[in-house]
Amino acid sequence: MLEIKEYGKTYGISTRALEDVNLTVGPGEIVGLFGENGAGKTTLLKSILGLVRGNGTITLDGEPVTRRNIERFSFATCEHSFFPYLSAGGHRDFYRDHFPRWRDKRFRALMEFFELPGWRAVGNLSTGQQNQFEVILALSQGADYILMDEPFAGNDVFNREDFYKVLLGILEPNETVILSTHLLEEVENFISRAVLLKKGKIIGDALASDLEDKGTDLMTFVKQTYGYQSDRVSRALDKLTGEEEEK
Amino acid sequence: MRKHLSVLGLWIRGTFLVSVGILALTAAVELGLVWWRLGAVRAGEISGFAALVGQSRIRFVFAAGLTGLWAWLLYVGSAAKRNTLGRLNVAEEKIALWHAVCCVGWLCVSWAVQIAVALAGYRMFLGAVDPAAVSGQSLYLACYQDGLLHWLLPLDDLWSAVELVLSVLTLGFTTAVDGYCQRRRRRLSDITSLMPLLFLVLFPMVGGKPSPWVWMLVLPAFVLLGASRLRQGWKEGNDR
Repeated sequence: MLEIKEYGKTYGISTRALEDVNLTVGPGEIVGLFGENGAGKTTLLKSILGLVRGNGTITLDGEPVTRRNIERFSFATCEHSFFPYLSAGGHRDFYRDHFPRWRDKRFRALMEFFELPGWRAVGNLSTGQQNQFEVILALSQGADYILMDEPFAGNDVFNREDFYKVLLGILEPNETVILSTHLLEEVENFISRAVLLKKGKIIGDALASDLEDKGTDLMTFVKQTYGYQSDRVSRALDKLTGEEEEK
Repeated sequence: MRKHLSVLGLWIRGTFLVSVGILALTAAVELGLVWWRLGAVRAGEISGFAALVGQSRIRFVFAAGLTGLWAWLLYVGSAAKRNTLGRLNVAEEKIALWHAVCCVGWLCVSWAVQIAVALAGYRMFLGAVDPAAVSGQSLYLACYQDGLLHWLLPLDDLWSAVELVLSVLTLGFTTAVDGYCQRRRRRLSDITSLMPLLFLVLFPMVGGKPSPWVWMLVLPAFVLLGASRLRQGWKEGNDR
């Protein structure tokens, strides 16, 4: 179980990226992490991995996240984590050396499914293919917790849809996914829980099953939690056009 | 150990093709320049091998090749993402040290290529001059007459040999530490901004004007700065 307690992160002197974050994620959950740009999603994921250091505690099954248990996490990010000058085959060799639970069968199957070349340097692939490869690495690492930060930025809608289907098909019951994305509608049927961040704070946390019981969809839940005013745009337009007419 | 060798293998694989390309291109241009000046040797305008090396201006090609190789090694180090390197079971500081081994290795290969170019150039020179005009010690003497040759082959000059070895080690080490700093902070590291100083140390030697006072000041300063950056990172890492 991943536990984040009273975690905060400040960049520089005053930029608060995360504030008093408390979150517990159990095995097998598929958590959607939502929030506007700058809400702290990436910082939270990087904090879990120890790539960013803040105040508070982050533990995995009661143990702090260190080099001893870091291999239980994998990370797919739009910033990319692969080595651009290495081929897919080279990545496979490297990951096999470093991650003892590397899933070679899954890697080969996904490479074949997305028709990615194994011999070309990954940096020479298209952005969409690079994103695919990034996610393939994260899924094949053999991690218990798969963290994804906007992994499909730059991919077309069919590609993304394929991925969700593949993910749902291949994930094992003990594999946990924390997925940060803006594409709410697309992941609505995929996630089991939604966590909402705003200005570094968790402002909403709901299970998909609870939302379903209440007859609320994810988009409505997000809008309600954020206090989104649906007439905001029309009021602004009325004001603008009114000013024009007065002139 | 396997994981450590795997990291070293990663750096070598990542740098291999372009580094070989830079070295091959440098060697080809240098030999081309030497070949081009052989006509002057045959005409008697150039009398010794040192003069041939000097007038063919291969030191500038060498300097450009070395700069290109260094820039490439630096780029590969900074382009590698911490998103993966920071998640390995091997400490990031050790990864940087393996990168340093790789950089030093490439600089040694660069040195070996230059020696091969010098020897090939000497063979070409021998084919263009009257055999009576050269002796068994011609190459040895040339290494004392030309700055680049002396820097590459400091025969019987222990101080210059130490200088060469320490320059290569420092350049390799600082290049790797620079990549480490950039991966962690994502901005131009202080080592990058000081790196031109290191070249000020290296290139005057190539031009035949050693500057030991700069060398004495700058090389230890770079090593200390790099080591302190690694130590700082190591302490932060252990806090995790």
